[in-house]
Amino acid sequence: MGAVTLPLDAKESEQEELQGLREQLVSVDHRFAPSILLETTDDQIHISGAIRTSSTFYTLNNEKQVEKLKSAKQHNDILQLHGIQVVGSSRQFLREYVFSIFQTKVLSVYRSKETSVWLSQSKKKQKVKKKTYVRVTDPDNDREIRRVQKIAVRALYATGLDYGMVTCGVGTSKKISIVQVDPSPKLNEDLERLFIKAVSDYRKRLRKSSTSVKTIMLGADPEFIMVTPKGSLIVASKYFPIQGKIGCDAAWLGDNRSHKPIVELRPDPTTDPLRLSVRVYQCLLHAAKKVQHVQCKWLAGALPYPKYPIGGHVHFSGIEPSFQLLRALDNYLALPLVVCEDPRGKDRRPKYGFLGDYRMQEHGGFEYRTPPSWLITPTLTKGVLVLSKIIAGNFEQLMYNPLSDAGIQKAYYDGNKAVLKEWIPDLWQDIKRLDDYEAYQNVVDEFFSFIQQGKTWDESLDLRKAWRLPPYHAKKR
Amino acid sequence: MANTDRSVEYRQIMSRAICGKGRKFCQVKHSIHPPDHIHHILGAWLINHNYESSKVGEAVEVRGTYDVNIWYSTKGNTKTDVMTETVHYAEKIPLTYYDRYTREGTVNVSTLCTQTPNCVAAKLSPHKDSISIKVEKEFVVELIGETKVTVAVFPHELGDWDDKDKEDFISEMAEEDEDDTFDDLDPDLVFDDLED
Repeated sequence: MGAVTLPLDAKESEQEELQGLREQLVSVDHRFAPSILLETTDDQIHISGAIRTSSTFYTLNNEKQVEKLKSAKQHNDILQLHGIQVVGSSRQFLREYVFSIFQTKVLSVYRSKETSVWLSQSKKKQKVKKKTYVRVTDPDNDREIRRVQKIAVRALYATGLDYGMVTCGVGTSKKISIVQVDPSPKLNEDLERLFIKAVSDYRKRLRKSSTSVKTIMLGADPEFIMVTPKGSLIVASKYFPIQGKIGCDAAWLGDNRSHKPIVELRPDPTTDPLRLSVRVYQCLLHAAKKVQHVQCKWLAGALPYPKYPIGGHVHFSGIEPSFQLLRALDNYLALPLVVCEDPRGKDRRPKYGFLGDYRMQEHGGFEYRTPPSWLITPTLTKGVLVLSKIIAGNFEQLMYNPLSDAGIQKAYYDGNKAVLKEWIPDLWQDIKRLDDYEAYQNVVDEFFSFIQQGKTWDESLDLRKAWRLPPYHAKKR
Repeated sequence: MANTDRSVEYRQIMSRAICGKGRKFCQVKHSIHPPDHIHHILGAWLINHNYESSKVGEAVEVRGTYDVNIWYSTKGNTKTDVMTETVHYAEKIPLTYYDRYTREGTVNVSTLCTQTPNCVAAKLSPHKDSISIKVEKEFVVELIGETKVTVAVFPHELGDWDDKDKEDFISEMAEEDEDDTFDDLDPDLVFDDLED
């Protein structure tokens, strides 16, 4: 079964629509279509005044990506590039999970029936052939499932697909590996229904107007660390509380888990990215006053201190984290940041800073976790926050997806600036085209010209210098 | 001014609350002396898990035992048998959250075994003089102790609630509402008519 073309419009009743979709999408042997193309006419693209120029919306499971996954080697290479463990030669797991996923939504979870008895390999072989799986009805209540599920979604994203079935195994020491990402899985009746419903819902969403830029709330929790003049890490929790506007990240130092070395700023969210930048500055200023008696350097970036990678997560609410939005953020925000990062920062990836890293938040929105800590300079801070807002509000109109190419992905993870830099003019130009660009022209241009000039930041410099914070502020006379 | 006049009153109450939490996943190896004439290990199963826990400093120590059952073959795989050995263990579980303001001496430890000890590998040494087995288990611990909690309370007047039936109280309130003494006062009107 090849790609299936569907009209964007569905005029029948819901039941007829689902029945129709079933006939088109599910083959006789119960396999789901490996890719779906949604056919559009020009008027539909102009829905609600906004032009949806990005073609990625109308293709679910790009055929090229589906083709690549047919080779087991390519399948595994892609996942490994993104830092995801794949199954080795022996498939020995304590438990296996099968997830049906449509973009960021997990439709169903099945778990292999586990035995608590360890049996010698020769005995096991006869059993391995027939694995039985049981559906898990409340997957969110299980800590292990939550962990595995995250990796399954990440694997689907890494392969460039939009939907599919991901099989994962949990081995000893809680090691999670991906067994397979299948774009065209064989389904039972329940799963057929779930997948069809997901496609139908997606189609409905596309017909509706896009999210309004104005209502998107933006927040952030950039991090930095403090080191002594001799270069050792300072326990930040001595000076700052764990919670609060200036708090500490959960990571700990040494054996005592209450020693938290990473300072995290938590400015109040707002719809205005420039106001958020001001709030970040206020947090920094406040923090500077609190530790002014301590001899130290403040470091931001990606990996200013070995084994303590830090991040500059951007929080969004009022918008759903679709794969298209995450891809836009990867291409237009994470990619430029790699061009100007300190070369030492590449070791943060792929454990952190992998493409499409997001996490749902209690406030109902989500945080985009790929970028490193951009507190380095005010130009970067403003640039990142403004771009986040512009991208979130206009991602449907952004045209480029350089990171769909495996070569560019590799350059991203390796920190190969020369390859990535070639894309900067195009990305910049694409942003300039947007209506929202005008309001933030200065900030965006400053950000991109910094990158265009080939400058990189130095993670070993005290960030307070760039922000002119005490003790580096201009003294009043 | 009497402090009952304040709109909200705060009281400190003594309460039992979770004042510490921790979780630990452990993987350990045990070495077991094999029976004579062992030829091959066919399977391993852990049963009869028992444990106790106590607070030690700012951590929780779990001590317990389980029986390791090993199913093995002898005499060139012509006979099988099962051996059992009881294993003792002690695990220190660090607390990710600990409230130092808890009253010492009131603390109880509640321990939940989120993964019962499970054998994930068993191996016979080349000289057949020892069996090494790998066991995984996971615990979640909570410390429950007395601590002071500050709460906002309703004013004293509502303290009479338990003297009356709830229905009485509500109907009384309703009657008061229907009191027509000030019926002729339209709040909007009065406000506009006021002069400085």
